[in-house]
Amino acid sequence: MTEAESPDLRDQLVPFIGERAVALLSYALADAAGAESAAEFRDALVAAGEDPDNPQVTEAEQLLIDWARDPSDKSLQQRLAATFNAPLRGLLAEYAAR
Amino acid sequence: MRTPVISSLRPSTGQVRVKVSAIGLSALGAQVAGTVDSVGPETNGFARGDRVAYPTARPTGADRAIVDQGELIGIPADVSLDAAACLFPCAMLARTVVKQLHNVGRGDRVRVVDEPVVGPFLRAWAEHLGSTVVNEDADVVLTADDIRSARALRPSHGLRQQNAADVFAAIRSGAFDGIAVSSLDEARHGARTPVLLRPAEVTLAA
Repeated sequence: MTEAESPDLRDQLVPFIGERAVALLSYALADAAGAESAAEFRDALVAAGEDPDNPQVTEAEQLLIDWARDPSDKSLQQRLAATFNAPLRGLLAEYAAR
Repeated sequence: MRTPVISSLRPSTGQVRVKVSAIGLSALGAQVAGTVDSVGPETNGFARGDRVAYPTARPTGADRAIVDQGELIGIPADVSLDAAACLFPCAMLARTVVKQLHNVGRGDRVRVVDEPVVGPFLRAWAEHLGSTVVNEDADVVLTADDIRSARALRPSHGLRQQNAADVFAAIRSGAFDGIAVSSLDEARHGARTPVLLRPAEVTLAA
């Protein structure tokens, strides 16, 4: 039996918002930061049948994408606070800061 | 026997519709796992295609269910819907006992009450955390009272999701691979382990 490991940040987000929103958020964060991992996240979205350039998203997913691309925007921060509970917001901030 | 179909129902504000794949039954109640196939207005995260689990007092056997989003737990891609339905409730309760009530850790000698449903999950968690399960000279004893205390706790929405991530990590690592899951037929013959049902079997199980 393997030794206990704490779930990583991505795995901690999934129970709150599901795999799809986490995948969209991960791509938006990596893309906004110009990170190499953006290509990997993009490929994962394409493999899941999404169009990364024009995803069909819910309002909450769009908020996550917009916030990922401009986390300092006050109005997005307010909408984030109104939409998601405090533990989730803490995880989102930690995930975005990686 | 025909399975009730309610796929024409539309989720309203804050609700999603779930295509039901698996139902886990245990002494703790029923846990449903499936895939979101429609979302109502003002849902904040889950979308079509997401794999989710939720508890229910009375599984209906319908192939779709309308569920409040606050009840949902997102299931990671590498955890099966069957495991989420069957293992999750007992694993979550056992986690509360070993981590919140007792803080079991590496090197502890742990004795576990002989309880048929949650007991195996307590043993699995204890070993997963690096402790040794013993029959005597224990540092920590996990009792039926602990199980009752854990059942009485009602974690907040955010805490439940955070604990769920920990449970999924344990499932993913194989912590509960040794725990048997029963079919409907085995349950009828007295099996006490969690039972895995498909929606069509719910009416047969009633």
